[in-house]
Parts: sequence; structure tokens; C-alpha cells
Amino acid sequence: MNSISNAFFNHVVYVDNLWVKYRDSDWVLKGVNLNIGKGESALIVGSSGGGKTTLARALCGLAEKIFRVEIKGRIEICSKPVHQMDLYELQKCIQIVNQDPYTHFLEPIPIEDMITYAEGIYGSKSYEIVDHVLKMFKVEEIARKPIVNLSGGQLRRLAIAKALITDPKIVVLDEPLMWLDDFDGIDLVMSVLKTLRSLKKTVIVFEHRFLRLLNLFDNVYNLKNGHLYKLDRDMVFHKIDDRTNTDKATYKYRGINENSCREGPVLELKDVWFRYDRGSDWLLKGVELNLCRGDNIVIYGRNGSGKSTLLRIIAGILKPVRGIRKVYAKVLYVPQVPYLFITEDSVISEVKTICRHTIKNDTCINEGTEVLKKFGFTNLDVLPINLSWGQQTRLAVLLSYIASRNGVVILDEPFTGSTYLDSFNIVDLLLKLDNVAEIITLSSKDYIPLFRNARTYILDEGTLKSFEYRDTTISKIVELSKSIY
Amino acid sequence: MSSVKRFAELFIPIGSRVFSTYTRIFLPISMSSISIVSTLQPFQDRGIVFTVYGFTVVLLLMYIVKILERALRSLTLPFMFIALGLLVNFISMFLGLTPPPIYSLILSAFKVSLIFISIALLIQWLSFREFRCVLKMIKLSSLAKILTIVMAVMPTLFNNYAESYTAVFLKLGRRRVYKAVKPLVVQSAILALDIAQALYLYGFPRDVCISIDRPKAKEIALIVAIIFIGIVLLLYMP
Repeated sequence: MNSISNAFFNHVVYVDNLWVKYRDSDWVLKGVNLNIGKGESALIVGSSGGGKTTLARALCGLAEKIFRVEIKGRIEICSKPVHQMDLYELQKCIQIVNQDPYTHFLEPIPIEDMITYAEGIYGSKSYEIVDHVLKMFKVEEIARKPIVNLSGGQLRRLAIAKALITDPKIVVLDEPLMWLDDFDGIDLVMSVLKTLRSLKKTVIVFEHRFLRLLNLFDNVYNLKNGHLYKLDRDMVFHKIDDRTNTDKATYKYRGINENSCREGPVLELKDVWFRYDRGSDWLLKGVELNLCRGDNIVIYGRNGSGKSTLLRIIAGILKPVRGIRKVYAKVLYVPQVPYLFITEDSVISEVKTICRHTIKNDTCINEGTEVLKKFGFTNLDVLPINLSWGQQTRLAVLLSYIASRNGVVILDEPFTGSTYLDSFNIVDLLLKLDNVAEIITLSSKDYIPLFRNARTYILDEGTLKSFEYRDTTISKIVELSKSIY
Repeated sequence: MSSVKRFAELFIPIGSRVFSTYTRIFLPISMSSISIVSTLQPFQDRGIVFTVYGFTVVLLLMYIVKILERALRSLTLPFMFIALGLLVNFISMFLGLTPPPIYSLILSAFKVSLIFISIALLIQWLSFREFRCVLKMIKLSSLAKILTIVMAVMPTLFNNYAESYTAVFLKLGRRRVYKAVKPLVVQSAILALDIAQALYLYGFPRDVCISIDRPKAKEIALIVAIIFIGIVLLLYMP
């Protein structure tokens, strides 16, 4: 099919027999075909490391120009080969919001960045345009804060807002729900998708947390082993059942944690207050938490509520402005950005380094490699930073499992980039650590039911409140995932 | 690691509009330039009055634009290094070496601090857009683009350094904390890749000079007075 017939059939995205590989790797995409018409929407699901981000990068030309991949086949967007487009054509045709929202800003204050960007295109109208997109996403206030003080979810909203400044024909969203809360974050993305559809934009979304998005798309695809397959939407819907309101979300204030620990607490937070600047609002207001050996704590909350900040205080990166933090055991902290945790040149080296501290070194290494293989890490010599975001996150979480025999493990959004099935398996593994206290932060309550015996809290208005949530949908999704992936 | 995170705040401009753009450029550059000259011969062993005067002016300006506390907090890390340098010199005395006189050492430390604090004022109260515009006017457009991109990623870089250091410290213990170097290098490379992607998607930040304020007469008088007094104090006072 050539460009003439491509235009004839009104395809704005035309991918024909696409093969992509990175340097020194196997082919990631193997003969992918994808045709998307003007105003259509496509959801592409797939396991971590399956090639979703690679396909997203290929569609907007990033793969070739920045990542120097080898490409065979054809990609045309807006009826033109992507590698022939200049910057202006590209900006008006396609915008991508990457998995990592930090890739979108070239100034430390988002609003300054967006105005600078808009000035180059619209001149004196830039303020009006930026104001409009900020209002669309209700991010006027956070756009004025420094990027380093924003949560991952807040930054993602801003990145989506920025992508719409040029009013592109095609919008590609790579894991748009990553780090977004389900208070209004997910609703916002759903509202954005509906708006984009009403504006006849072509939308392509790559996502793991597809549950709430299914009915927004014309077509659903699965990217598996480098091949793209169209899924039967009705089959997928049928397996899930309609998601009626089974939420049983209740929360009440709980003061100091009254649970007494048999062997004494491993962590104590007493009346912890924190804010970033003297002039800013308090983010944490009198947080109280006692943690015993073997406790599982899940902290759920909206973007910007202070979950990561609380973890950083527990880890010792930040100091409380008021209050006391006491830790009585070894702490292991796995940050939200996984590659900050990785220190070695290969996966197997990571395992060996971690196990060096344990008493039974060989047993630890053998058990560790078995666990990693179970989670799809078949090539243990691979350079960890060459893994996908989801794979790196899983690797960091699994390493924390291998390293932990006692003490406290802190996991910040550990399911980022993982499928529901992977998340289920990770939780299953973590729950086997009897002597280890775990603190996990989540912005999606979808995963809470997986932690069967955890104490769950919501971080709301600066305080921790007990939170109950029971929903069986995640189990159905896990079963569905087994058939898809 | 809190000091590293605070140092990151240094590169987040407030972009104050209390003074005009030109005033906000000339004042700190003048103070830091005179401070640099004061560290050279024949001013090395003098200039205490000028140094006190310089600190007073800069801290007062920071107070006026409400960035005093933040700026001082963000300079904790450089001040620590200056103090460390002083300490090393003191220790060298006990090792039988002959460092410069104590008075000279302390005076030099203050002068270097004044240079840092003046540069901090410049970075804090000028937005990147103004930076680019001004550099464009003096035909340094390419430098402007590169400089502001580098400065823009500094906060994220230092912030992630602090996280990575702590994560590795907790993962491997005090003895192996040197292994944090690798994720820091990786982090820098990944940031560079992020910037490349952003530049590909959005292009270089344009240096469109839409709003550059000209100084008023009072501000010109203020600039001249401050510089004149500084030079006089350096030349004629101890």
C-alpha cells in the first residue's frame, strides 16, 4: 500500500511491516502492521518489555533520531514518512507524552517552559493558549511550582497539557495512567480522551492499567513477542463484567497506631510535620505511624498528597520540620525512579552484590536467580538500564525481596509499568517475607485488595487515616491477563 | 543529602520583577566581578570593609525580593566546601606546613562566599527567558540555549543524586556507598537522553524577547552608586 492509497483510505497512521531493533539487541518489533484512520482511537496493551514504548517512539520518529535503532518497513503519519518531517510539521501532526514525564520540560518551572514553547509558535498569543490548556487539565496552580517539588502524577498531567499546545492531529500517550491517582487523575485522563475524540483527534494509548479505558477506544491491540494482534473488544468486556460500583471505600481518622509490637517497633513516626518551603502549605501534618516486624502497610493517596515525601522522610533523604522519626532496623528504599537503585552492569551482578551481605551467599544467589527467571528475566547478563521502565521497576522490587531478611523495605509505586498479572505475582512474593516490614505507596486502589492482610491508610490532607477497600475486579483482571499475555 | 537537595533549589529562578531586567543583571555581576578582583593581587590581604559591604548589599537585595532564606539554604553545600577548605588549611599548620596567615584564609573564604552569593542572586531573580533574551542581544544565542538547558536540569539532577545516594547507602551500606557513582553516571546519561527527546519534540527554547524591562533613572543611579562605593572601598579601605 503506497501513500496515495494510504491517503485515499484516510489513514493518518500507517505502519507497514515494521521491524525495529536497538543496537546489540534482538528485534523488538517484528513485522508490525497498524492502520489508524483520522479520528480513530487505539489502545495497545502488552507485557513489560514487549515493545510498546519502542512502537510509540517509532511512530513519532524518536526511535530512529534519538535512540539510533535499526528500522525496516514503513511508517507514515499525516500521509508523510515520519523521517521526512521537519520540526514544525511534526509538532502539528503528532505529539507524544512519554512514560517518563521528565522528558518533556526544558525549564525548572513548567509554566515558564510552556510559555516559552508556545511563544515560538504563537508569539504574543502564547499566554492565552497556555492558560487554556492549563485550565483544561486543572493544573494552573501546580504549573507554577518547581518540577522537583511535583509528584510524578502531577508532572504527567502537565506533560499531557503541554502536548496539546500545538493542537496536533495525533496524540500518543505512553502509559498515561502511570503514577496518576484514581481520585481525579484517571477521570481526568478519561475526560481528556473523550475530549480528544470529540475534537476528532487520532489517539493512540499504550497502557497496562487498561481496565477503565476499554470502552473509550475503537480498537484494542495486544503487542506480544514483537507482533501486534487485534483483540476482540467484546471478548475482553465479557470476561471482566461491567464494573459496577463495588467500591467499599471508607476511611476514618486513626490517631497514634495503637498496635503494640511484640519485639518493639522497627519504625516510629511521631507527630511528623513537613513542608518544602516556609511560605508553602504543610504537606504532612502530624503523621503518626508505628511499624512492627512483618507488618505490611499500604499508603494510598492522590497525586501530591505527600506519599513519596513521607517515604523519603522514612528513608532519611528528608528531615521532618517537626516531629520525630526513629528507625530501629535496616531500611531498604526503592525509589519511584527505578534506575536510581541499580548499581551494577548486569542483572546477575546485582544479585551477587545484594547477596554478598547474606550469610548463605550461594543459596541466596541461586534463589535470587530463580525468582528473577520466574518474572521473565531470562537473560541475566543484560545491562539493567537497557530494560524497559516496568522491567527496571520489577527488578528493583525483586532485588529488595532478595536482599531482605529483616528490617524495613520501602517501595514507592512498585507496580509502575507492570501488568496486573505481574503485580499480582509480585505481591504474592512480597507477602512471603514474614520478618520484613513493608511500606508501599500506591496512587491506584486497584491493587489494594492484593494485599490481603495489610494495614491500609489513606494520606489525606497531611494525615494518615485508616482505609478499607474491597473489590474483586482485580482478580478477574488477573485471570483475563493470563489469557491476553 | 538534604544539603544537596537544597543546592538544587539554587537553580530554580523566582524571576522577581521588583527591579528591571538590566538592574537584576548588572548588580550581581558587578558585585561578583569586584569580589573576584578582590581575591587577586594586590587586594588579597585587604578588602574586609568591601566584603562586609558586599554581603550587606546582596543580602539586603535578597531580603527585598523575599529570597533570602531560600538562597542561603541553597548555598549550604558550597559553604560546606569553603569551610572544608579552611579546615584543611588549619590542619596543615599542625602538619608542619606553612599555610597563609589565618586572617588571609578567613578573608579569602568570605570573599569566595560573596562570589557565590552574588551568582546565586543572579540565578534566582532572573528567569531563563530573560537570560536567553539578554544573551541573544549580545550575540550569544547558542550559549544562551545551552546554558539555560543545563541550568534547567540541575535541580532534577541534584535531586536524583540525593535519592540515588540514599537508596544505594541503604541497599549496600556505608562501606559500599561509592557504588552510588554508577547510578549517578547512569542518571546523568539518562537525563541527557531525556533532554535530547525533549529537544526533538519541542525544539530548542526560543529566545523570543517579548518582555524585557528597561531600567528607570532611580535604578541606574542605584547601580552606579553601589558599584562606585564598592570600588572605592576596595581601593582605599583596609
